[in-house]
Amino acid sequence: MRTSTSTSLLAVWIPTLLLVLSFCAGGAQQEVPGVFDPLYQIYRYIESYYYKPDQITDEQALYGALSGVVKHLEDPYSEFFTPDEYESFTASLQGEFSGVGIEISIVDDRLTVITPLIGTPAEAAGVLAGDQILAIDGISTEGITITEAAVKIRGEIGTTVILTVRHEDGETEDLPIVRDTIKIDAVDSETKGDGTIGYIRLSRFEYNDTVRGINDAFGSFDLDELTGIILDLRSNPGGEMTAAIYVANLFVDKSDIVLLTEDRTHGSQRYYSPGNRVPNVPVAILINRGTASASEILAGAIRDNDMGVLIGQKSFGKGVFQTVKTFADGSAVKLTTGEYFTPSGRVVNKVGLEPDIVAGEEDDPIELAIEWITAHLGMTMPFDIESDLAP
Amino acid sequence: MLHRSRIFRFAATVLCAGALVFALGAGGSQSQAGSSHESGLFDPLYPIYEFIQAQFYEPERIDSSKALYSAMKGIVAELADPYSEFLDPEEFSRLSRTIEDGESDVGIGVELGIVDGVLAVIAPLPGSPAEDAGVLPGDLILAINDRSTEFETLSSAKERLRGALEDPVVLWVRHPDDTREEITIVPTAIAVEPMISDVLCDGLIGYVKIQRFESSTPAALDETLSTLEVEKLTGLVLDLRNNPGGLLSVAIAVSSRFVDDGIVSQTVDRFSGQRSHRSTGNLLPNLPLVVLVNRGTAGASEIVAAAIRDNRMGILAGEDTFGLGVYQQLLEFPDGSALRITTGEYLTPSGDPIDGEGIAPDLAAAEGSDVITLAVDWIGQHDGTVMPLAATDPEES
Repeated sequence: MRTSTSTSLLAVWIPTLLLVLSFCAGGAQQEVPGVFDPLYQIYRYIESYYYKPDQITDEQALYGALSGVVKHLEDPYSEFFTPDEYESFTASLQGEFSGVGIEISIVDDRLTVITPLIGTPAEAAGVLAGDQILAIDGISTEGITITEAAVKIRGEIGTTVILTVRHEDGETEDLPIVRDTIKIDAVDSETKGDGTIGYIRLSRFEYNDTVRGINDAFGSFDLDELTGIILDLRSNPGGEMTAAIYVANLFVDKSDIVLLTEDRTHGSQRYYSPGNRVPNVPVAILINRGTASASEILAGAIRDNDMGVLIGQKSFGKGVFQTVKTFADGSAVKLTTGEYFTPSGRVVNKVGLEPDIVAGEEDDPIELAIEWITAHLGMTMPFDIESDLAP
Repeated sequence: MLHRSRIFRFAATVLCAGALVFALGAGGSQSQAGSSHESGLFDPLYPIYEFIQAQFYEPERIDSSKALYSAMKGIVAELADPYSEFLDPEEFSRLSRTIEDGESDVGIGVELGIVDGVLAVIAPLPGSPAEDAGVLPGDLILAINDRSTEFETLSSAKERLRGALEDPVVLWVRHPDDTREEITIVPTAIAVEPMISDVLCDGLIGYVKIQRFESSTPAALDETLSTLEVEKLTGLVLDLRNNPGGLLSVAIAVSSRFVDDGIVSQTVDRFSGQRSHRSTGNLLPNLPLVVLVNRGTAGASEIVAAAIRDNRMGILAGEDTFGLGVYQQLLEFPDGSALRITTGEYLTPSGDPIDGEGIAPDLAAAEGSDVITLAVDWIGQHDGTVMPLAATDPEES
């Protein structure tokens, strides 16, 4: 198992925000009896007359139909998982999957490597940050989506995928890469600046991993000496809502709101902080286009309470959350069940969070964060960030 | 390949049988008052649908008819067959209108298929905007107007390529030699010359090019052959290059013009098992015959080529054919939706599969070489020979 260093980023980026409730399906109490009856006739016809009768099993037909029912909602975040797919999904929540170890995005309409992860097959094969992936196993990536690319690049451990890459110097080459288990830590930390700034990199949100990781991070800092905190949420696609709320509570003062949610089961709800445990030193949160879902909850919670400043680029804008329901056979449905808002009621969905300090192409956001913290040494949060920034 | 007249005849047959065997209650959203619902395999759909109805954050987007049709598509998708699909009422009525209007009315002029899961050009129509723009038989279309064709059904791709008159369509194409190219094509009204005839070698050799196998083709062929005065010729060239196919019944009729007596095709499906289709008898002198084939020769064209070759009534010259040898049946439902699935395969007269295999020519001609000259030479070498060829006749020159 390979782990990544403090600069690690989640290799395959799929925005996720889950309120995970697992319950098994009970008996079928049908509100609309018979709606799906016509499926039996269709399936019988196919079973009787399709020219390759072994090509479809009862199980495939059922899963195909279930998948279809969820697809009709035309919601990109709602989906049906077969038992195998659900296993992969939970593994990815835990930061584990079998692949090559790269973070990808679409840049200038081309599939691009943001960075290869350290210690992974991709790095060993010679994949470089900024590489454009022109083809996967010989098939052009023209018009491909990130999710489609992720599906093609991932695969079983030990199998090979060939990436045709064009390096930033223009050179093109075919790189065969053998897939392996890639595991991303939820939390990494180190100190920056003169050693008194605590830097915490959050890659994903999974309750146990995140709680343990963040407590370890703060345990490693000398809290009395801390002059500032950098919370790096760049390219963090999200995860479990409970994990994001846990971290937000560490930073937000007692009784302040960290989150507003709305769904059909509970209506409107407010989440209050039980009180923060981190000293109120200046906090800088790094965000970019890949900061999504649970990450946006955390960033919004801290920012709206004036407990930290946002530095970087506008975040993704996924403000809806999903609930997962599992069934006895191991299959599951992930369904969009609600929307969340920042503590002051701002919409995040399809809007995103704007940074207070924009990082351009040439800027290093971490440097900008250190600068900002240094300029505010000795100040106690909260203070009015907006007027502080005004020229 | 879709056989239109056969499909609707068959669909009628199935509907009658269907009424006896199934209760076709595809009315969609209403509950079946009185009749008890089926239980079993698809039971799990109900708790999932209830979960969605109870908790989906935008309940106005939930639609039971749409959910049902989507579930049907989901089942058909599991077949992973590019020619099988479920069409909801709107899609089916659009398809029916297209068939009535004539599929090649407005478009870029390509016949499409799926090869190894990728959208492919079987052949560009002669003189079409696609052909002029450099689209080749065997081209894989990876994207249309910047959107990937992966996971797309054939119907949807055809729809996107049809476009509107004058609105350019941008294709991202991989040629058979692996080079990639972006091709922009402006759709126009396509009119295809169904048959072309000519004479070669100072009027001694007849040449007939058939573009597609349509219901009008046999009569048109008879007329063409009589105009050519076949009795005076020493040989015949039948050009089936870039002919994407058509109706099975027409393929049998055309084969019968060239094959005296014998099996012209075999079909295998679960309705009738394996069946042989015999020639209805030809009325022509059995002249030396060369059939020109290439990568764009598909479906019904491959049947005709195989019929002529396996009965030794002529030889094949050119390249390996496409390898499209399956046919579909269409089942229409009372609510206007329809299910089309691949139900059978064609085999050559000797019982070999065509699908995925293609047929190899007797005289191989590399791309670009003049296959017509090869054909004329072969006919010259067999001047005076009456088909069928003897078993020991060496077919290579």
